[in-house]
This record gives sequence, C-alpha cells and structure tokens, in this order.
Amino acid sequence: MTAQHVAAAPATRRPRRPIRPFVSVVVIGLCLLLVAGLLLGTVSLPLFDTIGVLGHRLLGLPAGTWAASTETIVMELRLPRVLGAMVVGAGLGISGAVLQGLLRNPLADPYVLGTASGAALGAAVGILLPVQALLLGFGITGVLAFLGALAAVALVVRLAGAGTDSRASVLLVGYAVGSVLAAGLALAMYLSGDDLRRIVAFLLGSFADVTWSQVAIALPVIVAGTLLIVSRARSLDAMLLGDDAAAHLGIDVRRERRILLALSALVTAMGVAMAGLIGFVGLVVPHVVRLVAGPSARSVLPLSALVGAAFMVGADLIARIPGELPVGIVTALVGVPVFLVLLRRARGAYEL
Amino acid sequence: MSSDLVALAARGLGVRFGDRWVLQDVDLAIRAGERVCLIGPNGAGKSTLIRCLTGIQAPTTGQALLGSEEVGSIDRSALARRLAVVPGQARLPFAMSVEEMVALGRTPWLHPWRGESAADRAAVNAAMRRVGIEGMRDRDVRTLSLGERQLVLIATALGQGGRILVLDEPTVHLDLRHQVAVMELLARLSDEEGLTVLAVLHDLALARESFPRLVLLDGGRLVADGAPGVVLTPERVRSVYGVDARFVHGAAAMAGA
Repeated sequence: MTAQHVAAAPATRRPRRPIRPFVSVVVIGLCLLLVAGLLLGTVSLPLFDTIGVLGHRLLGLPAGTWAASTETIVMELRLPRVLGAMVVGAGLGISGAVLQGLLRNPLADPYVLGTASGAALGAAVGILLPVQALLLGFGITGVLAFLGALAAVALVVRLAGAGTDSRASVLLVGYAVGSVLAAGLALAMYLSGDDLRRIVAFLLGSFADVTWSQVAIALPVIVAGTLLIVSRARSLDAMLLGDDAAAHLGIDVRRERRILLALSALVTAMGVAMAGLIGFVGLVVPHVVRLVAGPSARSVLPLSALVGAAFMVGADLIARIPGELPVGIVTALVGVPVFLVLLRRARGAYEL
Repeated sequence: MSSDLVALAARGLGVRFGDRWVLQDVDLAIRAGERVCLIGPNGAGKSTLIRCLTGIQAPTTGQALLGSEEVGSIDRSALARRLAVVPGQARLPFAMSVEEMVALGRTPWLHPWRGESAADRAAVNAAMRRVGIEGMRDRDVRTLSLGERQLVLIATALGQGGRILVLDEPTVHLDLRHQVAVMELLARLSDEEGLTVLAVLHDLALARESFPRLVLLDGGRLVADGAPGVVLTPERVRSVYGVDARFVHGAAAMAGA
C-alpha cells in the first residue's frame, strides 16, 4: 500500500494554531501591565514623570522636574515589585507546565510535590523563631521557606526512590510528605499566637515587601532556571510519547526527569521565598496555554512562562488597587473563572 | 560469517525478575542487512529480549551487543542514532502533523537550542518518502488509521538515521492488506537499503511468509533458529504452542489443540 496520493480531508488536518497572534497579545499585555504596575497603586503617578524617572535612572537621561517622592516610589517600591511579580509568575507558570507534563496529571501544579507545605512550614518556623537575620536580602522567613520547599521535593524524590519511574508513586509520596508537613504547619499555626496573621499572610502571598536585593537574586535564578527548562522541551515532548518511546529516541528518561524536577523546584522555591505561596497560577496558566497553543512542550513551556508573568503582574496590580489584598486571593478569584470559561469553550478538544 | 558483520547479538543472555528467569542462555547473532523475526508464545521472553537488545533492560547475565559494544555502555542518544525501535504501543497524545511526528525521530541529532537544520529536514522528507507517506504530511496523527499510524511510526524510526530497525509487533491490530504492506516495506528496507531488521510477530503464517530467518523462543529459551521451514515444523509448533498446525501453500491452517 502506498499513501502517496492520499488527499487529506480538511477535518483531519492538523489544526493551525494561532500561536503568533497569541504571543503578540501576551507580550503587549505584559508591557502594558508592567507600565500600569508602575503608575497605579495607593498613589497614582503621572505617566510622563514615571517615564522620565526610568529614563533618568536606567538610561542616564537628564533629571526632570518631578517630585522626589515620585522617584522613590517608582525606583524603590514599584519597579522591584513589578519585576518580582513578573519573574515569580514566569517561574510558577513554567514549573506548573513541567510538573503537569512529567506527571501527566492535569491537577499537578508547582506545589504538588510537597513544595507548598515545605515552604509554608519553613516560613512559619522562621516567623516563630525569635531571631532576625538577613541573607542576601531575604529575611529568615524567606530563607527557611526556600529551604523548606527544596527539602520537601528532595525528600519526595528520595522516598519515591526507584518508584520515581512511576508517576502515581511520585504523586502519592508527594501527597503523603505534603500532608505530614501540613500537620507541622497546623501545629505551628496553633502555637503561633500573635504571629498567626503573618503566617496566614505568607500562605496567601504578596509582593508588597519585595526589595531590590531580593530581585537581584531571584531574577537571575528564575530566568536561568526557566531558560534551562525551555532548553529541555524536546525531552519532555518525547516523554509524552511514553517512557520507552522517549528512551528509544535517545532521551535518558530518568536523568531528564530528575533535572526537570530539580529545576522546577528551584524556580518555585525562589518565588516562594520572595512572595509566599501564590496558588492557581501554576495550575491554570499552563492549561490556558495548551488550549491556545496545543500540547507540545516546545510551545507550552516558554508560553507558560510568558503568560504566567503577565498574569501575575496583572494580579498584583488588582491586589494593590483596593489597598493591598493578598495576591493569592486575586489569582484565585480572577484566574479560575477565566479558566473555566476557556475550558468550556474548548468543549472537550482539550488534552494534556 | 565474520564477527565484524554482526549488527546485533545476545551472548549467554539471561534476565531474572525476582526469582523467575524470563530469559536464559540466549545466544543470537544478527548479521548486518539480515531480516529476522522473533516468534514464540505469550510469555516466551520475546519482549524482554527486545528490551535487552535495545538497551531498555539490563541483562542479569551475559551480554547484549551492538556490533562489538555492549548495548548498556552506549550513550542513549548515540544508541538512538544507530538503532531505532518502533514500539508496539506508542502514545500519540498530540495534535501534531505527520511531518512533526516524523521529525521527532531527529531528536537524538538535535542541539537543545538550535532548530532543525536543512539536513534534518532532508532526513525527515526522505523517511516519509521511503515509507510512502509524503501525501499525509499535514494530517493530524490522531486521525490516522492504525495502518497509517504504523507507517508513520516506522518513518519516525527511519528518521533517526540508524542502520538497525527493531519492531515490536508491527502488525498487531492491522488488517491483512496493511499487514502485507508493512511486511513489504520491511523487505524493501532490508533488501534494497541493507537495513538490519528485527521484528517480533505473533502471526506465524505472516512470519513464515515474510522473513528468511525465524528465531523461536519458548519459556525464556531459544529453541530454534533458522529458515522458516526448519523452525516451524508441525512437531515444534505442537510442542511450543500446544496446537496442531498445517502450513498449506505457505499459509497456516490451524486446528484447535
């Protein structure tokens, strides 16, 4: 049989995906949101003064006639804040995409392997400790949250052991470890007294306290982690065909899986250290991307980072307009309805 | 037969799962350009042997060899450039085109940051042409029939650019016409291009018709190896499969045990 002259009926052709217009819209949206993030807040700043401040401080243009407070607000408060939101959103978006792909589970998110409870327990311990210390611009809460998140993932991977090959056992071990750590967190909260409010604030996430020194660490780490993950997109695509099929295509499945888990844990932990636990972004963003761009990791990974960044900057903006709501509440309130609408529109044409 | 012409070999190969030996003392040498079919009842160890020879499963004893090198010692992507496997079951989860699927075969050749080169695209086109699926290049892989899908998987394997092709039950679930098409394709690849072909088949009649050499496994041991007429004697089919078989004009007519 030769299929040389098989004419492809339109219905069986590969759907053409509107990736380019989508990327343009997201990039333009991200830029507008970044600008809006500098202008809006408890105090609204004039557009031209803000641009002038940026030109003066970043490009060395001559200073203008703006108020000194404008310069302080733009440079010391809002710029690190929007940059922080951007990289944390990008990191959560891409690590959600990685974990959903690796575990082939649509409910996976960056926190699924115990990261969330590990970070939360670390942060709670940091809050309760009567010690104040600063490491690379991060308070002890952030440092312990970072370490807690990484330790939880390391523990899950170690306990799953040889079972790392089985998605179910990784998920179950992740759930088990997460539950134990969550019990520790509950105990810490029970014993916390007046500090309870600070623990809850961490659990809901915020970019209000982001500083330049934190951005100086988190931005390069998250950008580098994101690029390294994107460079392994082909491995992830091959693994979606099945582990043996991927191995036959030359992928060292076990090694790639560990590298991808480690990178996504690092990127997530960095974000958690800076902004606390922000839910739904890592869960919802990769799904939205897949609905538009299809399931190939080569588009899903970079686009999840991009959409995550834009979404988080937007969510942070919404969070601060009524006067500092926790951003995790906004991501859930805004993100989930949007997601449900998209899912409904896709009408079952969706697959992981 | 000089040993440098051996493409794929098992030497004293055994595999134990727990305390059960699924393969024992298998000695097999497949010469470059040969077309060999692995047959045997369910549980005979065919898939395990294939998994050893393609580097997925490490043998408990003995060696699996690619040329003169031990398969397990070869880097995965170097192995994938020399030997391609058409899996029995492959998930095709993407809405991707046939061309994109075949291009996945270039994975072991690609640099993580660079796209596909002109040479990669040429290899993809050549693979589709050799299998005769150029007309389907824009089809969504999920809309393919099982027969078309098998051809696409074979093209993907050819795109890997190796000289050895291993197929795990390439005709399962295919109708007669597509079974014959796949067998003719494999014959052409080995006779005209000199590819080494090793396939697992369940259909004894098809194996007998399409392969000059059969290797019969039973209970983890290699029990016969040679031309179809030598391997598939009625006595052996009865003792291995527990059925009475008659091959009429090269086709099998089977009666229940």
